[in-house]
Amino acid sequence: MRVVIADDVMLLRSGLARLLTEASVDVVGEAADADDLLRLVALERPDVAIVDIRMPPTHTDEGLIAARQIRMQFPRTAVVLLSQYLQARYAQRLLADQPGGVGYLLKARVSDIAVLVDAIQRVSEGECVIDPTIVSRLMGRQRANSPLTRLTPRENDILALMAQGRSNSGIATELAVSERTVEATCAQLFRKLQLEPSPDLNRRVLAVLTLLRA
Amino acid sequence: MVGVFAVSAALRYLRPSPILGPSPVEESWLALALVAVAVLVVVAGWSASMEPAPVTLGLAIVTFGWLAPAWATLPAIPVRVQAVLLALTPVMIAGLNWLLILGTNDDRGTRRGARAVWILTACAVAIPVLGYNPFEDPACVATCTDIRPALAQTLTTRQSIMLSTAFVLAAAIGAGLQLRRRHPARLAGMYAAALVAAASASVVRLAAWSSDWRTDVEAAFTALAVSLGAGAVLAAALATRRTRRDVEELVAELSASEHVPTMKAGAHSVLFSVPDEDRWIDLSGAEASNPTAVRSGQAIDGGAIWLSLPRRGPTNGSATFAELNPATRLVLRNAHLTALGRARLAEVHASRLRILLASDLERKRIERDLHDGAQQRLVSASIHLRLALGHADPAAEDSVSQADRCVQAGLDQLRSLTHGVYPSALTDEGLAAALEDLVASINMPTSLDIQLGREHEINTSLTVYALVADYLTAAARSSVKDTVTVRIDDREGRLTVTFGSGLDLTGQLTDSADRVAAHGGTMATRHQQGQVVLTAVIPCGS
Repeated sequence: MRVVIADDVMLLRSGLARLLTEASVDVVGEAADADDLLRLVALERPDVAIVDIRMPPTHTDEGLIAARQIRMQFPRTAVVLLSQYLQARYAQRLLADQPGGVGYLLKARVSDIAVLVDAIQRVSEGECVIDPTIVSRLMGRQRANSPLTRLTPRENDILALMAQGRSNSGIATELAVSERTVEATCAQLFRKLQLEPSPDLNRRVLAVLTLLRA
Repeated sequence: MVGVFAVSAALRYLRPSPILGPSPVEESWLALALVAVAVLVVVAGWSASMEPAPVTLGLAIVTFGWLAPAWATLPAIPVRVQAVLLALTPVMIAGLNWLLILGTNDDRGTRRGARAVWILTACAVAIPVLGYNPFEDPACVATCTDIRPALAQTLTTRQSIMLSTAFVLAAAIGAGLQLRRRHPARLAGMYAAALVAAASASVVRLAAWSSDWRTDVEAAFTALAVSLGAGAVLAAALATRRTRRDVEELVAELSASEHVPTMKAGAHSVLFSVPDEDRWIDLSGAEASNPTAVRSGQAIDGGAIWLSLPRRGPTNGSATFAELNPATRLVLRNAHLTALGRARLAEVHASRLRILLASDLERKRIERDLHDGAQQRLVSASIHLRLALGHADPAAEDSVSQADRCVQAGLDQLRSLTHGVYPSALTDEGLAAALEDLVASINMPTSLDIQLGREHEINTSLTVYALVADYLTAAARSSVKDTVTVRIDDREGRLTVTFGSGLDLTGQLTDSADRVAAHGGTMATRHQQGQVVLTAVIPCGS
């Protein structure tokens, strides 16, 4: 697994690189801003780019713009975005263009290396991973006429875990039910969200997108 | 006084001359014209009686100069005094100068000019008094007494009249030069014509020294000068009355309406100066352009109040105000104070909003600093602690993982702290999303209904957010049992937030009430079907 890291705080960047290296992830480059990052990605063609959303010069959404560029120019490079705080709209903007291959984690979570490595793994496989905090927040929003209101509590739980990037077996373990039950509930869930079976589109990603748009 | 002068003036021309018998001057049409002049003088004097005293005095001097020669025929008067009275015609010029040099703007230049005019006038009056001998004047109809005036040795009567005429002309020109600086155009024109007529009388007297028509023409010019002078005084007095009536109409409007009177376009308007500041405000307290730059209207009450009246009064402004009745003056001063109060209140409102916005901006900056600075450092520290944990010997392992737990706790605390400082979701995702998050995060059953047609300015949104947050927190604190309903809509340029719950929580919302007020909004509570409904309305543009 080849990874590049982009963050303007050197201490954090190098610490993260060492942590990942110790978790046997191959860190092939570090960038301090978006331009550096794009050069590095063009050169190294990594599997995953870990990108801080706020980077110089304006410290607003440079990382997000760079991530979209990466996903468009180098579809084989997945992106994990790191954010200082919850911004559901950013995740939504990114996923709307490029469903799959995208992760969105809170920065405070990266020191838990297992979560980060897991996320890297999943996005490189084309899934999307959304931070559990954001997922629970999105679930907490109650809007009339959202398709999510039609879901049962169990379906809601499964959608939340799906958004966090869990596989069916992971979900089954978490909820202490059989994998077959999860599969059946998922089918029900996709039907309720009007996601028709399609070989090209990852329905799991689309379901998460529905959640983000709600 | 003016009346007495005028009546005896009329008598002058109705009395036959003691020496030459009835003269052509006593033809009835001329007598009628002279009576008309006398009436005009009386009316002018009466109108001017409400003007400051100097105007009446000036008119009296003019009339005296006009009439003095007439009294010379009274037999009771000593011969020498008769001669002096006959020589007093230039006094009329002095009176006219007096009238037109009365002015408001007495800067140094005009004061010096006025002094020169007075010296010339004094010479013009003094020389004939000292050098006139009726016996040497071929046209003298009043008396033929031969006296020896004081200057008889040096000047003949004709020469003294010639000198006096020169001084009269010089004084008239001097006074004429100052006319435009002191009087509005219409009055200046009348005064100038009066001066020309008086000067012409002097010139005729000299030029036609021994011709038989001299007295007639001289008398006609003199009468013209007097009537023009009186007419100018009358016009000024009438204009003052008009101005005063306009002021009283304005005052009636001001005192009749409880709210800011809406002045009809083109009608009166009134502006007030702000003490110690170089600016003006209108009745509503709104900023107005400096009216002294625009020429219509006039300043009264020592320049503190500016009146624009539909008819421009060519009178002295402070005199107008001084002569207003006390109630009128009180109403104007009261309006001035009210406007000042409104202006000050508007300033305080604006500054309150500015302070609020500045504090919001500062909170936003702190929130960013916490996220970009402190949080990043804590995350880095946590990463490095994890790294250290991998390599630590078993003895140190405990303390390192203890340190990591502390850092994690710090991060959690920081997260909740920054959210309290500034809800970043508001700027990133809008009011509706931020409110949904808020409702989801507070443990209070809430039904939220948001009907927003568009996104609003961040400051307004923040105020709505703070209000909802305060309300829900207060509801949770007061253990409100039922579901709290929150309704937000933005119709007709107003953001309306309506809360419904079983308890009246208004007392706990002082901070957000202040915020709402700073945006020019209002809050009201009413009871409806067992519910306490709190409605906040915030203007938000259209």
